[in-house]
Amino acid sequence: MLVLLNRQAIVSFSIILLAIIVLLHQALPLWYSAILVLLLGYRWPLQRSGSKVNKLKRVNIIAALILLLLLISLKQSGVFHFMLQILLLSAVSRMVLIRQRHDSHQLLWVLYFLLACCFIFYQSILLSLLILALLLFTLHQHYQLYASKQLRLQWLQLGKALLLTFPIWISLFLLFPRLQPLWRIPTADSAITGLADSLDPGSIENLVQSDTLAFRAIFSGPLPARQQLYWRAKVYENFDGRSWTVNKRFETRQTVTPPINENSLVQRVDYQIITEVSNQRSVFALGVPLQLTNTVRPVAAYLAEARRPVSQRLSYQVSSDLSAIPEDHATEPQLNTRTTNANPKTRALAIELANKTQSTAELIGQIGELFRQQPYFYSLNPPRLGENSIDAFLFNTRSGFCSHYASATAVLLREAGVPARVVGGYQGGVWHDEQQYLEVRQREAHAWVEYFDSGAWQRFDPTAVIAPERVLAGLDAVLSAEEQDQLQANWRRFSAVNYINQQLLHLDYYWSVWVLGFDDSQQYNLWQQLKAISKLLAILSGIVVLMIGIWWYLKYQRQPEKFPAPVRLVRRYLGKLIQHKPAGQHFSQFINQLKIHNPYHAPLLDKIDSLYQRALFANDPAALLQLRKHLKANTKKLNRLNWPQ
Amino acid sequence: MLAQLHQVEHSLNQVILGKQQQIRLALCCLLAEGHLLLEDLPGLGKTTLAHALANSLGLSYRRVQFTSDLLPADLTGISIYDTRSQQFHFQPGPVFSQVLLADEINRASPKTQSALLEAMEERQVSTDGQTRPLPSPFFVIATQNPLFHAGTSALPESQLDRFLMRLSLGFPERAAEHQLLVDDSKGSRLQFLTQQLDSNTLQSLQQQLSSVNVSDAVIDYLLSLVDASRTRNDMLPLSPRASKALLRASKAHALITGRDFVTADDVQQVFPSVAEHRLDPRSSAASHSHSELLLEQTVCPL
Repeated sequence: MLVLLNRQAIVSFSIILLAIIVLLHQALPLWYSAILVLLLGYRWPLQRSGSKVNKLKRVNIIAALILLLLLISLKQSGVFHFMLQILLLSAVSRMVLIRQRHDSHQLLWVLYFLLACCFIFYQSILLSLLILALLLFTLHQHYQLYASKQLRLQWLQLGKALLLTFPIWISLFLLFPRLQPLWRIPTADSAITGLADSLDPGSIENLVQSDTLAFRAIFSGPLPARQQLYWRAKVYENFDGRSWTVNKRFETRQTVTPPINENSLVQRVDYQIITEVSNQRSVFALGVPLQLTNTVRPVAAYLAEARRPVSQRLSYQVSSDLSAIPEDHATEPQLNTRTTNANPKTRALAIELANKTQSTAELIGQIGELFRQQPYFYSLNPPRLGENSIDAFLFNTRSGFCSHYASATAVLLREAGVPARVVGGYQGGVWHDEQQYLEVRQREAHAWVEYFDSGAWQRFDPTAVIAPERVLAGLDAVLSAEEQDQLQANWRRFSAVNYINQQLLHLDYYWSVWVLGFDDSQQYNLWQQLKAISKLLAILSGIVVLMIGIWWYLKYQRQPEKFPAPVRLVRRYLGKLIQHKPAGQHFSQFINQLKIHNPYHAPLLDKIDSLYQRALFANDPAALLQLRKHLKANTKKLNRLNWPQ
Repeated sequence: MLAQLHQVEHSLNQVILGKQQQIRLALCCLLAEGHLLLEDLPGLGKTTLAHALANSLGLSYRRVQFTSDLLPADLTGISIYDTRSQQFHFQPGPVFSQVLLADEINRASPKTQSALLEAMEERQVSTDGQTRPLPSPFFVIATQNPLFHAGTSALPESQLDRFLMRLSLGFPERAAEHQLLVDDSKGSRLQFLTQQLDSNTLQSLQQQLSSVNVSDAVIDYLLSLVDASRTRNDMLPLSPRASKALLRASKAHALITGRDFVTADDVQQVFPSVAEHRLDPRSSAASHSHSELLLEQTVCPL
């Protein structure tokens, strides 16, 4: 049947395609998106122009050229993006030529697929809803084209279809195994967020200006004390006199297994972490991670690291021991006593302190005393430091942020011969009691020191000495009103906006826990739980099946069959043609009319008519059998019968 | 036998040109042992058809021209006092024949018309406290002019209901009329009537009717047609007598078509002539508007 597409359908398709182009922009080079949009625009002059063959030629040439360009840039974009690009190209070129309803079939399926692909790039609740809305819009278009023309009926059918498929969606989501992707999904070259691989004086101050979420933590047990909430993310072991950088040994990405000794555990904490997109591998854990889900592994210095850069929200389970970090390599202490020639005053101070004290613990106490007794200040806007930054800070400015103190302490310890390193991560977080989770934002970024003593790396946080409230109550507690203003975005000052924002964050939290965080292990748990109540389930499903059976029996069996057997047969095989039969007409008349429209099939129709009459009116069972056989043998021919429009 | 019937049909078609459908229905009516009412404008050949039918069936027939002063006794007969035997003797009227040709039946007064009621339904006549059976088979083939013609009085519904079918011939087609005029000089067209059935053959044909198969589906369809008439108020409801008539006529149609089973088509073919005069007694026989409406609107699932 030739049904032309109306303007509305074409506009809708264009809108969906445009939305897909925008949503998939990460996978498309800019020039390519531009070409696609131009090609879409090209449809409209074609709409009015004449010959179709001409167009086909033109569009084929254009598509071939674009494909060539794509092939040239294949190396840059990677196979996965290339596949998406080709799919989009085919959809758009189809769109350009589309005229009949018949043509829109493939286009619709490709649109569904492309929209589903958008979920690879976006997992946030708002964009998921947007993509879902686009999917539903496409589905609605599909129905408009193929279902009944009556709007009310159309919605009814659509609603029925959605209602029927909804349980299937849910059970597929819950029970379908989470397969590993067949190809590697390339990470976007988006900006890296969170702690960088180098720590300069000032870098953390910049980071805490950001209010964005770093990760969320959900504890199985009670929340540990705030002084214990040191989320380790990076360990900085190289110092060049001014900034700290990550040592090369972290690049080998070797997995280490922590020496687990059940008896020596200090405090075991089980928790789940949902990290935001950082495009970095390093993720967060407290103390020594003993067990991790397999998307994350323990690496050098017992840091946790994702197997690939976190380009989608990532959820993992951790069991940690809140003890000192064990030595992961024999050369570790040696690596962390290297000193530089910069900061001579600091060196002198370190030697002086070392001479005064007998043990490392005493030395740490001395350094703490130093910070406490001398006029040192905690400030978000420390003065700029010169060449010998540690010297300048310790002896001149005496005002700094956590990284200044951590850096100075580590240098002092190293100059005194104690292995020490700076650890970057997050401290504390905002506890939401109602939702039972800890929200850790970038402003909780923190730096502290680990020194090697009695065979393990002990934590020492000089900030806790200078501004103990920072650790106990959070950053806001130690900042001046001015500095707080500096941190808060303008809109954050309105409490209503703040409230809505917080509620959205909570919604987002549930979304990530229940939808995005639903992984293999959760699925396994679900199966286990289902197994536990399998008897109950069996009984329940038995009852449901029984009820459906009874309902079916009541509905269909109790009533006499609507039509005699021959009538049912003919109705079934004539299929949709039946709708052309006027109510008062009997089949023989209708078949006569069919014969007029299909003179080629007249003998077949005559035969069917005579068999039908004998079977129905003379109750001839032999004729019924023959009729069935005849109809079955000629199904294809019957399907091809014409009825004039 | 069926071949003979078809021969009769053929020769009837020689007498009344171009009216195959009506002739077949008229034969159906007689096969179904039903009375036939022919309604038309004067001069359209209804009397000729009546004569031809009676002739071709090989039955004894009497013709009565109905007029406004016709009395019931003129039909049924009267008892005459025989002075010799000093007794009343019943002198049978024209109704005591196998076929009664009642010409212009609606010219008679209602009283006379209703005298036919008993004869038509019970096939007997009661006069002077005596009931006399009518010969078998017994048919009434009546003709009437349309109601709007002068000197007519409408047949009562009860009597109309006793006619199995009402037929109307209508104007002949041009070619048929041409033929009619050409052949006019050769004498009466009744001469073409060569083939005759005898009453035995007719009766055995009528008996065959009972062996015609009727499936439940057809009866259901027939009943839904009848039911449809009963739920409407723009027409009279069809009586069970009407549904019986419809079934008999359908069977006769099946038989005449050469089938031993009734199809939905048979029902639809006979329905207008069987039902129309019952649905609206005032309607003209030429119009089938009520029955066609029913046929159109009643779902035929077969």
